[in-house]
Amino acid sequence: MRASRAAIILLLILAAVIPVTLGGCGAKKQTDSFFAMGSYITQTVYNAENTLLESVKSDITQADANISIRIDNSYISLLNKEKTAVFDTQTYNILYSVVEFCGVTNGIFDISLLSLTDLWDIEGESPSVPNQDYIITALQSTGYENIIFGDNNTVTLNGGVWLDLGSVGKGYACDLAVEAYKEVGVSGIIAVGGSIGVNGKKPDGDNFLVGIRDPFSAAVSDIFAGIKLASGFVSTSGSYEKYFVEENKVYHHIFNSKTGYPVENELVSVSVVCDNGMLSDMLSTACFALGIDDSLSLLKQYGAEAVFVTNDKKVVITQGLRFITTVYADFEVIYI
Amino acid sequence: MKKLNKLTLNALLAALAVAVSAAEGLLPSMAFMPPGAKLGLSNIVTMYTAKTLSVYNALAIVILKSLFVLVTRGATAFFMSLSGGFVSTVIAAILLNRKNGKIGYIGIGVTAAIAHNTAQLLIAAVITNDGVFYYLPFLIAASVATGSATGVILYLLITVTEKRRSG
Amino acid sequence: MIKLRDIIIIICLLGAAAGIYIYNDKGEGSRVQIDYDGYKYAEIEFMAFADDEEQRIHINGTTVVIDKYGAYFAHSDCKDKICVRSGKINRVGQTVVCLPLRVSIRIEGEKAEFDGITG
Repeated sequence: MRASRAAIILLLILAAVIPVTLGGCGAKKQTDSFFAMGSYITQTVYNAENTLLESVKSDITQADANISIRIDNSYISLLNKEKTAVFDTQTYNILYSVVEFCGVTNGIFDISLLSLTDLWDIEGESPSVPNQDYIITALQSTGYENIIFGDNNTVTLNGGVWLDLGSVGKGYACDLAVEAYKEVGVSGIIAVGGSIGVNGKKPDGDNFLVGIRDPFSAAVSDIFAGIKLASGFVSTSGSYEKYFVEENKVYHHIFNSKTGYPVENELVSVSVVCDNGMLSDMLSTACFALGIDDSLSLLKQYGAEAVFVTNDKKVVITQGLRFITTVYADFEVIYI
Repeated sequence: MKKLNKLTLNALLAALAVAVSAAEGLLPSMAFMPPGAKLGLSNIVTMYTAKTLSVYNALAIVILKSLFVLVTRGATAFFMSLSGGFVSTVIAAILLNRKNGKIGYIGIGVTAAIAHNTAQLLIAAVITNDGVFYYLPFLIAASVATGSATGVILYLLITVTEKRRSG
Repeated sequence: MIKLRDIIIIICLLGAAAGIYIYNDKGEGSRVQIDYDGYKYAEIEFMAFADDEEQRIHINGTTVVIDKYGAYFAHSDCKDKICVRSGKINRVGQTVVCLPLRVSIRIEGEKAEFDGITG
């Protein structure tokens, strides 16, 4: 009699206490922000050691120093200048995987377009459409097939090409962070510019909610859809991010590697969800250039999912995201 | 108790219930409480009636009290008073008249208050919309407070009057 | 007067109340729904209002004012004026009701709090 009474009392007290604790009280949340990989980076981790954020920050800063073309003695800058350089193993392997991906997309995704992008100078003070002759000349110094991998971590560039890992760095940074979070079993989320990496769940048991910016809105905080990510990475490429307008035509920063002009298709943005950060970054650029139909097999190959937004405000979502993505605004939604 | 005494007692209690209810009605309603929700002090009277007379007497008083509210404060207040009073009185009657009192007066007061306020919340939800359930947490907290007070007063009342009757 | 069971009941109730409150808080809302007589009367998105923009709506003797930060009853013909005294609401689920005049205002539309933004 007494034992069962005590049990009932205990149960009742638990019933009173559990709802309160489920609210997530007691979880230690830490946030840190800094600049690297050409972006504003924010990390948020729960119940982690104080050293984790710093350690990830230093990993990312180091990786930036290895690949950034803005840093004079990064491996990539040296390679661009001397046309041959000896890399450290990590960066050598990264470059190798990236070039491999260039091959898979048959050059639709190409990291050797720096001569072309420098010519267009989209982010410059007064960009304008370059003379077609200059574009043709610039195109001659492009082509991922000119990147030669040798023994002892040596990389050589033929054809006078110039490399830029800008469309890979953000995803790479996310990979570094999430790997570190996973290693110590910590839940966290990192945003490197518009590339997001997630590990685990929030303290209240909910998955991390990633919003997708509305490509048609000038306001930076306008979100048109949200994805509840249980794990993984998201990156977005869009024509609205960097562009200039000349004679009523929009010229954006994602180029057709064959024609030398910005890609023109039905898309205004693509967000790719995948289990690797660098891949999500590269795939978002590749899929934007390919358009919806040609992207599907590529996505399937890498087990990735995507949210496409078209010029006529249609949202096309791949099946894998169907139940974890909510579209808020007045867009027509199609699932494929 | 003789029949005449019972009748007198009933009348007195009914009048008391109405008076307390009227006095309560003058108090301003709190924000964060469902509109029209009152302290429920008049329930002390009905609960006392349920214990010393019978639950039927108590319910009669509830009806009378509510009719008074209908005349003075209107239809919505009438339904609130009737529902709250009815439910809490029945529950209080059951709890008060049990032989093995495992629940103290405070527990009874709180339970009656929760029943009273929840019934009122349901009526409010029917009249307006689901949104009033937002008040549930505040209502529970308030019921604990007012119910405890009601319980204490009821305890004192019953103890004192039992003594007087036996003494 | 007070027994062990009473205390247990009270603890459970208060715990449940706290739990419900925390669990139900879905953040700041983006629109207010005005109901009259149990039917939806109006739905106004206030999130996009300009800083000093304000909308006044008159229903059945009440005046509802909506601005960028939320909604409230500015005036009511009812006797108790509880609705007016309830102040301004802006979090999802919050509701103010004028029972005698059968008008209620309720905040809806979670402006979900995002953990990260891509794009």
